Amino acid sequence: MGTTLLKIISKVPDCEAVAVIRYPRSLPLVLGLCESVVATEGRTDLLADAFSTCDAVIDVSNGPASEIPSSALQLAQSCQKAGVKRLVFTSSASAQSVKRTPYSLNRPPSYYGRQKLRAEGVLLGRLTKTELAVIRPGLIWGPRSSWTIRHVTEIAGGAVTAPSSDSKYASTPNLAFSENLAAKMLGWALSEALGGSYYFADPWWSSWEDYFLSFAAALEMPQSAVVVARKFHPGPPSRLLFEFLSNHPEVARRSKTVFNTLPEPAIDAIKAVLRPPTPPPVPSPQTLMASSPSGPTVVDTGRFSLADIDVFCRWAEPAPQLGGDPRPLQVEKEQALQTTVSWLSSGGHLDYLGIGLDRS
Amino acid sequence: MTRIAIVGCGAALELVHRAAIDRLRRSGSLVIAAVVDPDASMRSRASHWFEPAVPCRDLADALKMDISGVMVLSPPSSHVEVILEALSYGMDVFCEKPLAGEFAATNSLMENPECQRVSVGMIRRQFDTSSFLRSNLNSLIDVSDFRIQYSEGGPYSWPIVSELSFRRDAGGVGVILDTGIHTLDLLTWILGPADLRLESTDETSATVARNASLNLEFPGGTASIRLSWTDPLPPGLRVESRLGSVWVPPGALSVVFQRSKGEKQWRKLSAGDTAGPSWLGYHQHRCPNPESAALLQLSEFLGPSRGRLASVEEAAGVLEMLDRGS
Repeated sequence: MGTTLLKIISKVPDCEAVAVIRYPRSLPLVLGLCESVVATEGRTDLLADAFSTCDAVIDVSNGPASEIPSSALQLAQSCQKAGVKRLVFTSSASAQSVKRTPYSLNRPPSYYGRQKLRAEGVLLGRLTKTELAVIRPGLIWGPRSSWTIRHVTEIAGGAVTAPSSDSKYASTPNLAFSENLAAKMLGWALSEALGGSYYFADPWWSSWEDYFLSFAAALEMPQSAVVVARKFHPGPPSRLLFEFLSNHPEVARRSKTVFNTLPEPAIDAIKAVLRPPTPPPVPSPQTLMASSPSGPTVVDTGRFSLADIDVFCRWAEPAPQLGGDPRPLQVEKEQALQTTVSWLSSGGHLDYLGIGLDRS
Repeated sequence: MTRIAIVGCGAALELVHRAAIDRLRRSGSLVIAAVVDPDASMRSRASHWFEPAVPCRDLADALKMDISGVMVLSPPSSHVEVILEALSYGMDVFCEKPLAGEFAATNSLMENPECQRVSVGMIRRQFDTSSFLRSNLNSLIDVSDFRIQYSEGGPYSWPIVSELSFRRDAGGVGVILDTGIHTLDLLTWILGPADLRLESTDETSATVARNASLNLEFPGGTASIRLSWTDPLPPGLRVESRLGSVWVPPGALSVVFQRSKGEKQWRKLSAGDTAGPSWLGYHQHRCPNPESAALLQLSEFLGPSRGRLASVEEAAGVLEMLDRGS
C-alpha cells in the first residue's frame, strides 16, 4: 500500500514524500522512490523529527496486531510534537462492531479489528492540534496484494470460500482497490476538509460472486471455474478453537504453556479430537472447465466455515467518497481488473497457477 | 571433539546456524572456543550462547587459541580476507554464501594452495529435493531439450540493522548474490555449467539490485530466473520438457511432483531418502526442514568428506558466471 501511495505522490506536482519505515529491512520497498527515514520502534523523537517537515502524515503501517495500539500512541505523540496539521490513519473495515450471534458482544469480531478500534480511540483521544481522518477500508486488493494472490489461487483451485448470490450469507464485499484508496487518502491529506471516520470500498460489486466472476472473466477463465457455496460447513472443533485462540492471544499463550506440561498420551488424545475432518469434495478445475456451464459452479456446502470467508460488508452502502475530496475514483472497474491481471501475469503467477498454460 | 572459532555473530549465526551448533555441542562433537565480532554486544551475546566461548574483537586473537576450524559468518565483502587469514594458520574453513561480493575478489583465494580446505555453505544443496533432482532429473525429463522457470520474491525480511546492505559502496550484494546465488548454484550443481545473461535489474550506481531477471543457457536447455525483494512472486521450480514436467513447490524440501507429457495431474514423488552423514551418529537422515539442512551442512564440515558443501572452485565458478553475464 505504501509503495502504491509513493508512486502516486511522485506524479503530483509540488508534492514530495518522506517514507518513514520502522525497520531497515523495509528499505528495498522505498529505495529510489523518495527520501526515506528509519524510525526504529520506540523512538518517538525520530518519528517527530521525520514528521517535522511534513504538512500531512498518511499512516499505512503494517505490523503485528498486538502492537497496533502502542504504535498509534507513538504516532499520536509524534504528530503532536512535530505539529503535523493532518493525519490519515488506515484502520480496517473489521474495526466495525458487530453482534455475530444473539449471545455474543457487539464488538469487532476479530482481535485485529479490536486492536484497530483501540488505535482509533488512542488517536482520537490524543490528537488536539492535528486534523484526523480514520479510513476503514475493506480488503485491499490489486497489484502486490496478498489477498489478490489468494483470490486468484482460489479461482484456479476451485476453492469454495465465497457465498453464492442466493445464499443467506450473501453480502456486498468490502473490497478496496489499492490505487483508488491511495489516491483518496492523498486527496484528503492535501485538502482542507474536516476530519472524520470514513469507510472505503469499491462501489462496483453487488456480491462476492459478482467479484469472483468479474475476476475470472478478466483472467479469461470460464464462469464455471468460480465455485461458490449456498451453505457453509459449521466448522470442526479445531477451526473454532483456532479462531478463538487467534482472537485471544493471551489465552493462547497460557493454553500453550499448560498444553506443553501435559503427558504425551494426553497431548495425542487432544490432537486426535481436534484433527479436522476431511472436507467435502469439490470438482477439480479441469472438470469445471471441461463442463463449462454458463454460470458459476454452485455447491451445496462449502469446504470451509463461515469464519474463513474474507471480511463481510456490514454497512448498507459502500462509501468511496472521503469528506473534502469530491473527485471521482482514480481507476474504474475494468481498468482495475486489467491492471491486476497484468501484474499477476508479469509476475508469473498465472503461469504458476496453470491459468496461462490452460488458456493457451 | 572439534574446537572452532566463529567469525561474525549477527543474524546468520542467530537464525541459521545457532540451533545446529547447539545440537552438535550437546552431542559432544563440537566446542565453540571463540566468537569474533567487531561489535562488543554481538560477540558478548554469542559467547553467552556458546559458553565457554571467548569473545574476541579480532580473528588474530582467536587463531592463537587451540582450534582447528573457523566458521565465517561475517558480511560477504569480508569473507576472502578472513578466509586467507584463517588458512595462514592451517585452519579448515566453513564460509557462509556468497564466497565474495564479486568474482575478482576470489582470485587471491584461488591462487592459495590451501584453498581446498575451504567449504562454502550453499544450504539448499542439503534439501532432499535438491539431491533427488541431481540424481534423478535425467530419468524424469528430456535433458537435451528443457525449459526451467524459477522465481522467488517477497518483501525483504532479513533482520538487518542498517541500510548498508542496500548500498553498493558499503559492500551490499543485492538480490542476485544474496537470494539468486542459491538458485544459480543449485541449477549448475544439478545440470552442469551454463552461460548467464542478465536480462534486467533495478541496480543503480548507489543502490544494489532489488529486482532482477536472469537467463541461464545450458547445453540442453534454458532457465528463466526472476528474483525480487519487493514483489511477491510465485516461488518454486518448474522444469518443462518434451517428455514431461517436474515441479518443486514452495517450501517443499522432501517432495517433488512429476507429470508426463499430456497428463493433467501431478504425481507426487518422495525425495526424502537421501542419506546424511552418519559418522556423528546423527539419526535424522532426512531434511524435512531448514534447521535440519543447517545441521547436515555443519555435520559435513566437521566430517571426513566434503559431502554436498560447495568447494571454492564451485562457488567462485558461479561468481565468474555472473561476472561474465553482467
